[in-house]
Amino acid sequence: MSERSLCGNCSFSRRDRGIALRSCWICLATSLVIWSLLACGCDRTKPAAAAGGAHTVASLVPAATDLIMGMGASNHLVAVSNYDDDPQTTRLPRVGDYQTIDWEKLAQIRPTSIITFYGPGRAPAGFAQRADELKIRQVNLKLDRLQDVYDSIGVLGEICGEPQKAVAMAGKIRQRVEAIHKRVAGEPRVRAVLVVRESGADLAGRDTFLDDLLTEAGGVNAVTASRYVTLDREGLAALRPQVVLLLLPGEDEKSVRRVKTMWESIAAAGQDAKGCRVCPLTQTYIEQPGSHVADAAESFAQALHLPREPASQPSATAAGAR
Amino acid sequence: MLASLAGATLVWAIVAAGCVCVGSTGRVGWPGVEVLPYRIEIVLVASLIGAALAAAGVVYQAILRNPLADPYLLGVSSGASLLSLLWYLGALSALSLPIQAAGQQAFAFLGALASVAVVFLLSSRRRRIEPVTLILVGVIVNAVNGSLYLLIFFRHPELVSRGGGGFTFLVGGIQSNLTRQQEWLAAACVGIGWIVLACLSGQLNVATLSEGEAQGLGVRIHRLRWIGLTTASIVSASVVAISGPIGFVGLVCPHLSRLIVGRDQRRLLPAATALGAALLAVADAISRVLSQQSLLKTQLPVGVLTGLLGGPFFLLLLWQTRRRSEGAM
Repeated sequence: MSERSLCGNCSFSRRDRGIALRSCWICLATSLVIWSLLACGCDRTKPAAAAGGAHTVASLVPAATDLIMGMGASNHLVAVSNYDDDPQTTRLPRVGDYQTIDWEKLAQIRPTSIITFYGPGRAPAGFAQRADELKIRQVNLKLDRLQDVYDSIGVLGEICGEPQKAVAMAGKIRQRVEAIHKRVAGEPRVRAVLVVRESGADLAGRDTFLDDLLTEAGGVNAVTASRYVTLDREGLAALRPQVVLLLLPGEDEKSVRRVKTMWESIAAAGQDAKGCRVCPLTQTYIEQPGSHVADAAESFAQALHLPREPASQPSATAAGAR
Repeated sequence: MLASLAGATLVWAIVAAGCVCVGSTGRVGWPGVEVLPYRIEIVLVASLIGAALAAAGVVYQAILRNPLADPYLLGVSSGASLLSLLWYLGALSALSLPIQAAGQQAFAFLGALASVAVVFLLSSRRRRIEPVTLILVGVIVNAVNGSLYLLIFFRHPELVSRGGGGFTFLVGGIQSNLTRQQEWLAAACVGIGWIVLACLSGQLNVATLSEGEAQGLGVRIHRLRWIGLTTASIVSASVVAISGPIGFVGLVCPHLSRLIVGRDQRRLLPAATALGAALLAVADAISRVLSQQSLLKTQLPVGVLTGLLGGPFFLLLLWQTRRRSEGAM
């Protein structure tokens, strides 16, 4: 006879309970086996020993990691973010990102500084509490504008104990950007948009370092809104750019072709689409406020000031070809 | 009750000790002194969240007389999570950390209570709660809360960092940047709430009977229901405030425990609490192991794992309920 539950519709017989108990044991045993297998496959490497002496740095910001390596202070890096994919950082432990922080790894590594990228007043209170406990100095970077990149180089040089290297690097980047600016100064300014994601509809607006680089490269941003915006097809068509810069770092050819086709069709539908060029830029650094900002500015300048020969350009739009 | 409590605590302690041996540093075994406090902290927080959700699930299922009731499915978690986010939006960083933590708890509780009230009122018909309607209303409340939550995120993307990880908070997970004040306050709310629920557990056996039978046994059923619902909402809201809505723990654990210890609420409550604590501690340990396997770039929120476990379990329960009702016809 089955035993009825006291809980409304829920009823289990003795046979059910027996089956359930057996199932529980089987599940427990299976999960133990799986767990053991997973544990055996664990990366047992110990965190890299700090080679940077008194100045050891954990970077949760890939752009900061790139700046540190760019200035030649990578020996001070002891940990990087989960999203750092530079081959030079593969030996370093991953300690988190803007979502999660691995405090137990940090407790083991004990860097002197940790670099974060939180908005002003937006750093979680628990972060500061734990960083204080571990006596790790929190350095919150701002990398919104080109000037912020120069300022951050100085800050990073200071926390790495390498101020001279930082000054040299900042000077070098500034010089190159100024040289590009001078070179294109005589050219007419080109109306352009900066597409920053694979969707094709996310654009960099004003008050961004990408906009600063575009200005230095002789362009003018067709997006007048501040920061980053997402527009629908109608909004994109209304921008009427002369050049569309597709910033798709590391994207494969298929993705690039898809976004390019999308923008070519938008340009073709526009009334004054003649001469609108779509230029994909897939360098891994292209939208990173890192050590390659001058290279990015150079790529922008080359894309903006190409001689206009629509018939021979593979990226010319259908309207342009007509 | 005490024997069940001791047994359940022992089982949880063994599982938790195993979880302490699994870390993100890649080494399996008892951690070193420098890592131990952080490892213990994360296991205790995971256990606290699991325990609270499972205990709340036991009470909701008993009081609503519905085997499908759970803080997640009833919309309690999403309501608490939404109001907790609103608190973040308005909270002044000038406030002291204990006041910030208390405000977050209070807002989460208001969200949970509002959701449970809506679900309770809309699914009641002639003072009877329709089990299927209850779940449907819960789904709708969840959908509305979820949409409002996303709306706030789109309007204020900077909250992604303030919440200690927007995505983690959206699907439910163990936050890595909680303040000590947040942790202690949640633990205090859960501890006090659990003691109240334990005191009520004998009467909760009667709550599963019809109103007439309960009153015949001298139990003031309406008062019991309101106290039980409010306390379960406090318990679940206090952990949702720090973790986001972790699904299905409150559904799965009471049912598994019922199969092991039977249906007496005095034994069921400690057993389900321990099982919930152990389940979430293990889920968190698995997510730590997975993050070491280069399968994922970042640590998987435990809400994803509990969802993968709880979804099929929920379907199994529905199928079982349907089969039984067909058999009874």
